Order: sequence, then structure tokens, then C-alpha cells
Amino acid sequence: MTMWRWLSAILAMLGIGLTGCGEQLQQQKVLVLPVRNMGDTFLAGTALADITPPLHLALFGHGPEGRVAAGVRSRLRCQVFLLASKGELVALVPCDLQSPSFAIKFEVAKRMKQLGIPLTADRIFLMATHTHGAPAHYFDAHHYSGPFSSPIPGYDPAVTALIANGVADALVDAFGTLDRVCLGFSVSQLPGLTFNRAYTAFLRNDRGGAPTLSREQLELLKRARDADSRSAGQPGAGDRIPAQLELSGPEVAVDSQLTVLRIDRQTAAGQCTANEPPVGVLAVYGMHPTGAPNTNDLYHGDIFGFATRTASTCLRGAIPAPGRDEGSTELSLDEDGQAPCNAFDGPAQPSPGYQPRLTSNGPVLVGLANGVEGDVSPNVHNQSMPAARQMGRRLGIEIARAAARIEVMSPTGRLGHFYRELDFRSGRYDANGNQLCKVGDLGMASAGGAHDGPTRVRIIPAANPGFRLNEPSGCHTFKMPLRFLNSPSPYAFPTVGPIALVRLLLTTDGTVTDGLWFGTIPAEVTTMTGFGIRGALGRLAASGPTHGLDKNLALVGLTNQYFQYVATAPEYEFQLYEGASTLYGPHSAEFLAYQFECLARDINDPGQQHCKGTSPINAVWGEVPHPPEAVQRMPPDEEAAPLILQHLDWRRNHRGGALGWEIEFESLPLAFSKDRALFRMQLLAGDTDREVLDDDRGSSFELHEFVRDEQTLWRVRWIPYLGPDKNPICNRRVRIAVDGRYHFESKPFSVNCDPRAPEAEATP
Amino acid sequence: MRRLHFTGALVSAAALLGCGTDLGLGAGAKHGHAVALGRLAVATKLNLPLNDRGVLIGTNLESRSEENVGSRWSTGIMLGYGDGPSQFVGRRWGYEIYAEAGVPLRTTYRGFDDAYVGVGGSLPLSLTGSRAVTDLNRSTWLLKRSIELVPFGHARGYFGDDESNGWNRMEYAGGLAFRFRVMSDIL
Repeated sequence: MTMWRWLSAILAMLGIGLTGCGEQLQQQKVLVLPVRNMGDTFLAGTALADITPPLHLALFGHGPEGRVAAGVRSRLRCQVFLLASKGELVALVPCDLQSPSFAIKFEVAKRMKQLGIPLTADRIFLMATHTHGAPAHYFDAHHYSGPFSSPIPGYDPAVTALIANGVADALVDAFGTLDRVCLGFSVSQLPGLTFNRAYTAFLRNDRGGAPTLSREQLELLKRARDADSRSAGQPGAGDRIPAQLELSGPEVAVDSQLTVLRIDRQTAAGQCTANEPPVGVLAVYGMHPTGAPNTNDLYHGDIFGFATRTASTCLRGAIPAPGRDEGSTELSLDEDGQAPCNAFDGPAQPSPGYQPRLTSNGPVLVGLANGVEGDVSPNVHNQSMPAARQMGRRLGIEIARAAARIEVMSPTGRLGHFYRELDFRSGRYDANGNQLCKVGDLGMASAGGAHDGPTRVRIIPAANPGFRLNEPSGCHTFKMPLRFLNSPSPYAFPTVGPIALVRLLLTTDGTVTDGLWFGTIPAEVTTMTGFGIRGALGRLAASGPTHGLDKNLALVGLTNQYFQYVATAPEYEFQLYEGASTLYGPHSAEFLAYQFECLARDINDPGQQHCKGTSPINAVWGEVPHPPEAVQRMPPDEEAAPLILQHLDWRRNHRGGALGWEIEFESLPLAFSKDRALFRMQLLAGDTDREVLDDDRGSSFELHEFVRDEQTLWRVRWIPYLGPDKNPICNRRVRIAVDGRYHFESKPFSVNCDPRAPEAEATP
Repeated sequence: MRRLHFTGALVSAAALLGCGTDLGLGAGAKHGHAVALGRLAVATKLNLPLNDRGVLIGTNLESRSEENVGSRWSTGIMLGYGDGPSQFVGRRWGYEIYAEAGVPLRTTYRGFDDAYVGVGGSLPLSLTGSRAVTDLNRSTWLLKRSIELVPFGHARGYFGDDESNGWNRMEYAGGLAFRFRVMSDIL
């Protein structure tokens, strides 16, 4: 064959190959699916993601004082609330995590792009509840995966993928089930559940030379001081939950706003009749959900995890409020009856013996995002899992009541999102061009932990709250940096993170009747920082674009990125835990207020950029994460042979302050805890019945790994809520069961709810 | 000054917690002479936490006997990288590679004036059972220890005043040591 013939053959083959590649490229072209544009009609989709990982990851939040996960107390979840109107689309996603990370957000946005779902990065709001019972290992910021961050630090991309894929799958579910809904909201105050843990610093906010305070900030300071002069109680002791509103100064010095957004189905005629329980409820409340101590070694959602489950159970049996006005959407939780609020909250069934009067379409999805909580601790008697559960139940019942009380809902309205990415390095905090510190730094005083999570490092004097340099030094003034004589790497702390305002305007016949705003912040802000932002935004509220911004603003912290804390300048000087953890210097609170003010001005007057150096609204800068070197923390998936063990002995006892029933067996593969298809805990009815009365999706089951005589065992414990009202589960005959890859059950037992009865165990 | 004191304390703690002490014997050949040596070395890996891997720094003390030459003590420093063995579930063996330099201690000096530079390596093998990572939940203050068997080897070039006044005396040696390693669950 001549050379030319060879060449022609080769060129022909190349041509065929390229055509094939071209076809493949064409097949890979992403199809962007539009959101149904149904005018002003609200659309919503909801979904639940279970992001519980395998055992043996580090728990994040208490630094080196934290523990390695040896079990599960309540499964970790994200609740997806996808809202749409007139083609606009936003995803509000509270998650049982200590904080969000850019790495997770990036992966979620990437998946959405690959799937052609129009949820760009500016439309996704990952809101961490701040539970300290969630895993570490998913932070791209080097410091959050480095030494002192958790007991076994390190970045594991497999953990990032587990969480991101869980969220992404739920977003896909929610997007695919978008349907017409009615939206309504309530904004109320819920005092008494929290107190200000940095009260001394709080009170110094109006010292001479401090930045000018807003009206809201001044009012709060006055109320707190007035409460101090009235009340003789110890501030923030947590020894009592006030029966009446006789709150002490620290209990007043918090943002106690409870915001509840309720989502109901529309009728076929497009009306809001509220004749059945809601589809979903998204609440915002500010509190450190640190009901459990830092010695806890179980995955759990803490107070917020208990609260969402309780609220969901309460709302599942909601009925139209007797005697409500025509057109009202008020519901009743039927608390006078055998209310589901007072029963155990296993999602498998409503409380035994309680017959719902209406058809329920399943559990009500309740999500709870964290508000202004930087210096806000829960008012618990002592940190323990029973205390967390009690506080969580109380909060959950209040959320359910607030949702039920909503009388006005609308099937139409306008949704808007106004997102702005900020570079915190040298960020401008006023119109004169003054800037934050160029480099983020953590203070030594933060190493000793906060009020509700002290660490062992406190044996070093410098690691105690309040330790500060004798003289101010550089941009960070009194902060003594926590690092080794070197400059922090550019990737040690986050540098870029977004703020946003999400607007929900309810309309009737095209006229705006009310408006609700979510203001998202990538940090934990102290109470006064939050009120500073409220003050800045409240001044700019106007009818039209910013309707409701002064009255109905829910500030949501820990969203989309984690800059740790933001304290005001006077609070920063104290170098308590919050001040020491304010990464970019003493003017960080002014920076946030100023940037929110700039954003609101741009919303009021679109097309103009009122502040120098800000980027266009909804612009995404295209940053990519730079995580540290990967390590393996996730245990491998293991295959194991099926095993059936019947009739394990049970034991009834008190453990950790709660009455429960438990079984023990040889440990199973660690990875089983992440997948309920492989491992789930259940309470079965009777001696042989297969009816599931309760399961580990509620708050009554606990898995704990332990070692006895050098053998590793797992304990499954059922801990029903035994409140003041009679629980219908008492005296029933039941069995504890494990199902999934394995199936085994305990011997049957009767549920003896008397806490004074002696401990018992199965007879041979 | 406060900052320096604190940083110094922290660095020292980090260095010590994860430190291993080797005691071993070795043999080799140097420039045609047989060599027998006893070795005491102390090294740590600078990488919190757990000090399982990272930059390795150490020092050693050797008692050496060289055929037809004499015996002496020498001391040196090591700088390199090490990884493993893992305390927890993971590899039960590790590796270390380092550059080293040293000088003789002249108390028993007889003969030539030797300083050396070289490279060395070792393959530590843990003799202590692996720990469950959840042990960290219970062991919060106590130091932990592990015993390792450490085969080691080095290639060194000796230089200085001698008969040939040259830089051509290579030593190749290997041996076995036991390592007592200290770890902390605090950091």
C-alpha cells in the first residue's frame, strides 16, 4: 500500500473517531431544565437527607476536647426546602452540622450543574444547626482540619462527598416534586430558653469610644440592665427556666426571635384552606445547641435535632382550629386530647391509640436553622442528653404552636434572592474605606473553649477566656495569635464568603400584603452584632423592594461558609472566647453591618452599586476550594455475611440519666451506621408481630460501641420520652429489633414506665 | 515575650510527644574495614497530631569499633521524613528516610579525624497491638507508648584529615534496633 493510501486510511479513521467523539460531546451537553413559570403562584418541594456517617470519625466543635464518634444518638439530617415563584428558585437547607464548608457547597453546586438543575451557587443556602455531634473532616480551610481542630484531625474527601451527595440527592428529589403551595409565616419572641454567656462583654458595648449603636442595640442594653436591677437571680446560671417572664439580664440580652415559615398544599382550586397538616415548616431560632457536654461520643443533632422531631410529631396530627374564622389557616395541635406532642416521636407511627382525624400524608418536614447565637447558650440545668432532649422538646412544641397559629397564608407571591460574595481580607467596613485585617487569625483565648465547652488546654493560662496582650499590637490589637511564630498560610482560614438576603413577599391580587426576609451570614454573630445588622437594614426598609425588612427579618448564621465568630469592637477587646474567635479583627461586626446596608441599598435602587468595591448582586466569583492533603478517616465499606440472632436478652436500667431498655451484641462493620438499609433500630409490637412502633429516625434510639473484656460490642438502647403525661407506649408488650443486613430481636418485654421500679433484665 | 514562651512550650511539647528512642546494634564496612556499632538515637516527627508522619528530626550517639583502626564515640543529627507505623487501624509498619551529619567525640579517639554526612533509612515495625480510635475518648491525659522493631541502614561519607586527606571513605552499614515511642492523646 502506498504511503498516500496509508495516510488516507489513517485520516479516515481519525475522522470517524472524531465524529464519534463529537457525538459523545453532543450527548454530554447539559440540558438545563427550567423551573415551571406559573406566574406569582408559589411552588415548593421538600426532601430529607440522612447524612449520618460511619462510626469512628472525629466529632467537630470542641477542638481537641471533642471525642471520636462511637455511636449514634440521633441520625444527622438535612432538610431541603426548595421555594420557587415566577421562575425564581432558592434552596434553604438546614443541616445537622457544626458549620458549613465551602468544599461541601462547591460539590453540591457542581452536582446541580452536572444534572442541569438551575440551582447555582448563589441560590443554595446551606445552614448548619451548629450541633457539636456531627463529624469533622470536611473543611477545606486548613485550620479547621488541622491540629487542635478535633481529636483526630485531617481532611477526608470521602466525608465531604458523603454529605454533599446526600444534600444533592435531596435537592434533586425536591426539584422533581415541586408543586403548588401556600406560604405563611410568623415572627414572635420566645424568651427564657437562652442566656447570654458573654454578658460582661455585652454590657460594655456602649462604653466611651465604641462605635455608634443602633436604636435596637441601645434598647436591648437598656432592657438587660433593667432586668438586672429587678432580678436577684444569678445571671445565666441555667438553674431555672422562668415560669413567668422574670428574666435576668443575661436572659434578656439575647435575640429571642422565633421565625416560622409554614408550607401548606394548595387545593386544586389554588386556595389555602389548611384542612390538613402542613407539608413543611422552616424555623429560625438563635441558640448554641450545646445541650450535650463535650464528653459526648455519639453523633446527634443535639437540641435542634430533638426540636425538629418533636415539632414534626406535633404537627402530624394538626387539625383545623375549632371555631376559626373563614379563610383563616389556623391549626390546632389538639393539645387537650391525647396529643402526639406528648408521645414518643418515632416517625413510623403516630402514638399508639391516637387516631388522627384527618388523613396525613406522612411526617411533616421540619427544619430549624440557627439565628443569632454567637454568645447565646441554652438555659439547661446541666449539660446532658436528657437535658438536651427536654430543651429540644420544649423548643419543638413552641415551633409547632407558632406554625399552627399562622392565620394568613398566600398561594401567590414573589421570591427574590440577593447574594453577595465578600472578601474578608481587608474588607471595607465603612464608607471611608477603612478595612479589616489582611490576614485572619485565631486568638489564644479560644483554645480553652467557650463557656459550654471548656477544653483541657485551659491548664495553660493564655488559653483562658479574657487572656489578652498587654498592649494592642497591629491590626488584631489585643488578640494573642494561636500559631507557631509563623504567618498563617493563605488557606488557613476562609477568606471569601457570602452574605445574602432572601425575600418572600406574599401577595393578594398582585398587591404585596406582607414580606419575610432571611438574612444569611457566614459566621456566628454575637447578639449585639446581630442587632447592629438589624438596625442597619431596618433603616433602609421601604415599601416595595424592601417591604418587611424592618419587622420580619430572620438572621440566619452559619450559612454557606464558616468564619467562626463575629463580636463587636468592645466585645472583641475582652478577648473572651467570642472575641478571640473573631478572625479578621475588631471591626468585623461593623463590616457585616456595612455590607448588609450596601446590599439593601442596591436592592432598593437596582442598577446602582452604592458602595465601592462591592461585586454585582448574585455574582459568583468562581472560587475553588484548596483543601489540605487528604487523609483517610472514613472506614472502608465492608461486606459481611448475613447473621440472624433471635431473642437477645434485654436489660432495663438507667444510663446517662434516662430510663431505657437495651440489648448488646458483637459489633458490626463501622460503615453500617451510615445506611439504614444495612442497619436500623426498631421497636416491634408484641411477641411476634412485625408492626414497627418506633425506629431510629426519631429521638428514642441510641447506638453505642464499647469494649468489654477486650471484645468490641454494640449496644442498642431504646429511650422513650416519658414526660409528665402518660405515654401510650407504657405497659405495651414490645421487642427491640435490629434490621437491615442482619435481623435480630430481643426477647419480648412489657414497657414499665415507672422510673422508681427496680432495674430488670430478661429472665433466661 | 509571652508569645515566645508559649510558642516554645508548645513546640517542645509537640516534639516530645511522638518521640522515639532507639537502642540497637549494627555492622558494616568502611573503606575496607569492618565496623561494628551500637546506636542510641532519639527522633520525633513534627506533625501534630498523633505524630504518625511528618518531618523527622533526631540525634544519635554511636559507639563504634573499626577493624584495624580503633574505637570511638560519634554523634550526629538527622533530618528527613517519616510516616508510620500508625497507632490506630492502618499500616503496622512505617518508613523513614533522612539525611544525617555527625562528628566524632574524641574521648576514645584513636587515629583519624572523621566527620560524616550521609543518608539513612529505617522501616519501623510496630510490636504493639493497634488501638481502636475510640480509645482516644477514654485516654485523655495519659501518655501512651509503643515498642517498635526498627531495621535501619545508612550510607555515609567520611571526610577530614587522614592519611589520604581525602573524601573517599564510604561506610555502608545496617542493623536492628528496638524503639520505645511515646505518644500523647492530648495532641
